[in-house]
Amino acid sequence: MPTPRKQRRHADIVAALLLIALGALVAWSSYSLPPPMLEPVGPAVFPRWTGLALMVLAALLLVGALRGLPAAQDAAAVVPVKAAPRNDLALATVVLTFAYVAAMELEWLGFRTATTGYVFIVMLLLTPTGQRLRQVPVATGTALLLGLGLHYLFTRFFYIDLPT
Amino acid sequence: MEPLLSSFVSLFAPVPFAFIFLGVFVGVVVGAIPGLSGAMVIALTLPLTFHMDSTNALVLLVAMYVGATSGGLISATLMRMPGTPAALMTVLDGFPMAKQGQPGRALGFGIMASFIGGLVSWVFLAGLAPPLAEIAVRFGPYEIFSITLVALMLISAVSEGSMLKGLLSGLLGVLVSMVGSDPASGAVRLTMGIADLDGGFRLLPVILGMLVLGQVVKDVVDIDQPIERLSASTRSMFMKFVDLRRQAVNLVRSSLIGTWIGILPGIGGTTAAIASYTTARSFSRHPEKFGKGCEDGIVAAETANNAAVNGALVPLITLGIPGSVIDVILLGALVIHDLTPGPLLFRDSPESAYGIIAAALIANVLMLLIMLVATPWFARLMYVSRAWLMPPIIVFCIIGAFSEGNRMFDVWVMLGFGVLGYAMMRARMSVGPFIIGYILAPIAEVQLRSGLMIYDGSFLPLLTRPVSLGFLLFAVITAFWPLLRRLFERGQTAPSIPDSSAE
Repeated sequence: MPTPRKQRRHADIVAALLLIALGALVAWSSYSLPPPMLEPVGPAVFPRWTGLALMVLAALLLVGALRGLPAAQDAAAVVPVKAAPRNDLALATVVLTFAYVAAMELEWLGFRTATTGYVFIVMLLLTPTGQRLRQVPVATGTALLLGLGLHYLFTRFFYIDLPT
Repeated sequence: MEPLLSSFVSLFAPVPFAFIFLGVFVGVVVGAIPGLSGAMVIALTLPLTFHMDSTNALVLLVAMYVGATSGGLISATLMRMPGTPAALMTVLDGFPMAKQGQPGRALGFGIMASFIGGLVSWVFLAGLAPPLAEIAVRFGPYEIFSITLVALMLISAVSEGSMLKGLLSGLLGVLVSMVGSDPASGAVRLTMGIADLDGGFRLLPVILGMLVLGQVVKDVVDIDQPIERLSASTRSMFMKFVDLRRQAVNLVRSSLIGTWIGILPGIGGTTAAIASYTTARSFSRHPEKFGKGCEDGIVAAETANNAAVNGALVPLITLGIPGSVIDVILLGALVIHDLTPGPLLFRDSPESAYGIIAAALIANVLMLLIMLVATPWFARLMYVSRAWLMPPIIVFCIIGAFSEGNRMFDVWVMLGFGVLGYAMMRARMSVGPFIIGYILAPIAEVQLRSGLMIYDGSFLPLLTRPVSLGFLLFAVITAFWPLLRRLFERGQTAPSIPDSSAE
């Protein structure tokens, strides 16, 4: 298992490479933009220079990470990490969220049904396993309140349209 | 003076006053709950204000800003977790003092300090904003370009973590802002052929994704972290006059630091709290007590972070340049309500400009009263399970992203930025510079190109116009400050802030 410092180095290397690629792509695509007309500086200049700056700074990050320089004090959590991170839960939540939005986009489910189902599932997913059964009534009530209540509140009170 | 007084009178009408009260109340509640922040609640509330009167909408959001900044003190003191980023330094002394059996005293010091910081900075807001707006009306495009350059440099220099990553984050935000039609020529840039991107990325999906969803994902990842909780006793919560006298110098100094840092565009309360805390420790006769429950530390941090709120409103309403990430959202609110942020706000919509100023003071007073009375009840809200909070927040984000343009495309954009925001947090890249870069870059580009057109392609006025030159020098110094500081301090060990993560 790599040490936290090695993990940070790897993360920095990956981030730097991605940013260099992004900067290169942006700078290259700026050459397809039209030249300036009636003004000294056209639409291509800012994207080009931003892309180049991104490449240069990302290269500095890459060099620093490869040389194993002590990482400058990164944005660190105040609370020490004592429990394992729940990347699995986070991934599941993200996937469910994408599915929730897709269901509304494709009009398989309306806002009320999709929201009720989504809130119910995610609430139980995030509840510790031993407490899930006990939380079913709470999750059900909350899901119905959000699914039906929010629809009423936004469409009839705030006059804000909702997806489907 | 008269427009300000009449704003006060109008805000004491039932409806606007109710909005201010509601804003402070909700802000304090949200600020007290770790994992939620003022930026989140203000971003989520923004879509709800679409059909509101513009003044009511702005005072509600400003009140939330004030409330959330102060509310972070509660969880910082009782749970050792800052409820909002600006309460980061309060943790260092608030929690130890609470653990020593004095939670009420710690909270009382923090609440009073927040109030006084807000009060002092309000005097600067009310005194500086109108004349500054009159001066700013005369600023040309090069002056405004230089100011935005300063802001971009500042946010990168003082963002949490390495300056290099701060700059990269800012540049990413700049890049994202360039997607869509070029403001001058109308040429479509960086859209990858996606027609929905011709208008660029809308403000709300970007903010909701980067600030809110990214944080939600992080909170889910950290959902099993054990949290130590202390009870909130109201015993000794009211600061005595002798305490006030003892803290007088600290209060005034921290207020001025917070106000000044708040005024500097693009920075915000967290940096103000850090600067004030380290200054208080430097001037203290007992610096060894800092980090162990020292009252001076709590006062310095809380005074400054609240002072920064009003300080940050100064560049927002006078120049149209956000003083912090939350001010970016307020800027968005101004635009959504057809108000032109900047010096013309005082001329074209004085009721909104003075309404913001008046609301800031009323909110500060209400914050004091609400927190002194209701903190023990607010403290119980910290125990709300994340499982209950996260799904509604995500649903609100989806509604908010959809509501701006009635497009599901914006919801997908928000989800994408949520993933990006979380990825940046994992890479230890602060999200703040991204947001500020996203907002400031279009302003900088438009102003520079306008200047070049006016002066026939010449960059020289950037250097010959004194205000522009002054800000440019400031930007250069800021960019090279870390290097300069290393050269000056070679061979010396810099004092460091106690690392609470090592406790």
